[in-house]
Amino acid sequence: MDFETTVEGTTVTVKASGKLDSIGAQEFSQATDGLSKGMKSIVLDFEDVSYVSSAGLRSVLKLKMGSKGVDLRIVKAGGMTAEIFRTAGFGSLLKDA
Amino acid sequence: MCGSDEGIASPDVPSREVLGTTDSPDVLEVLMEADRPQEILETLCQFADGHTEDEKARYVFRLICDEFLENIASYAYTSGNGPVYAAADARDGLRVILMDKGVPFNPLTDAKVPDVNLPLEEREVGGCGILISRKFAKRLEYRRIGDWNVTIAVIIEGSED
Repeated sequence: MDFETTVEGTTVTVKASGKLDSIGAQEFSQATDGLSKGMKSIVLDFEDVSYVSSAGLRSVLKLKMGSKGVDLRIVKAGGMTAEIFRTAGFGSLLKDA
Repeated sequence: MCGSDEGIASPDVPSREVLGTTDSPDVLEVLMEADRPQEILETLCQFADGHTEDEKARYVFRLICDEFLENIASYAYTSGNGPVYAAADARDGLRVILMDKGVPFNPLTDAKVPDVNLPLEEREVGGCGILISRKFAKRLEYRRIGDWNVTIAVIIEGSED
């Protein structure tokens, strides 16, 4: 996967692209490790994430658990990808839902 | 990768008659070691992509194969590696058969499914694979045939489904 990270004040935005599968999930975890330090919100832009599996869900859940007190949002997730997040009970993270 | 009329070239894979497959250009059979899930996945998905234009079906096919192949690679063989047999069948609809010779495991009854109503902070990591597979497959079926765990997922229903 590819990641583009932007910081504006206390908001960090990660624009991800590619497949958030078992390999992508490892890359996502590496890319977001320590990201929440000093931040009030994390925005995950998933417009270009073409696929998510349970490994990808786990990596997002781990980020959420490791970012206590930080607002975590997923934006622009596509149809099936958003549906998978909702099915797994992650709907509260979807800003566009 | 395809075998004879009796099935793929392995002495103890259940016959095509038992599995409901046949020697056809619309059926792909794969027999590989379980520790190569990505290779098996891409082989199956390439076949499925060539047999349906339905983007959602392609996504669901990948998702279900991915979940079950990763589970087999991670949990089926407690002492080392073992075989995975997979068959994608696009003759009438689209379905996939995934088999391993690991510990008996019925994903429909033995898998722990997470409580999706819990706040995310209280959730356990894991269990989402079977949850989303159940949600998006048209039908999931498990059989134990000899030493094999056999999971069948229907992605696109055929005329007899």
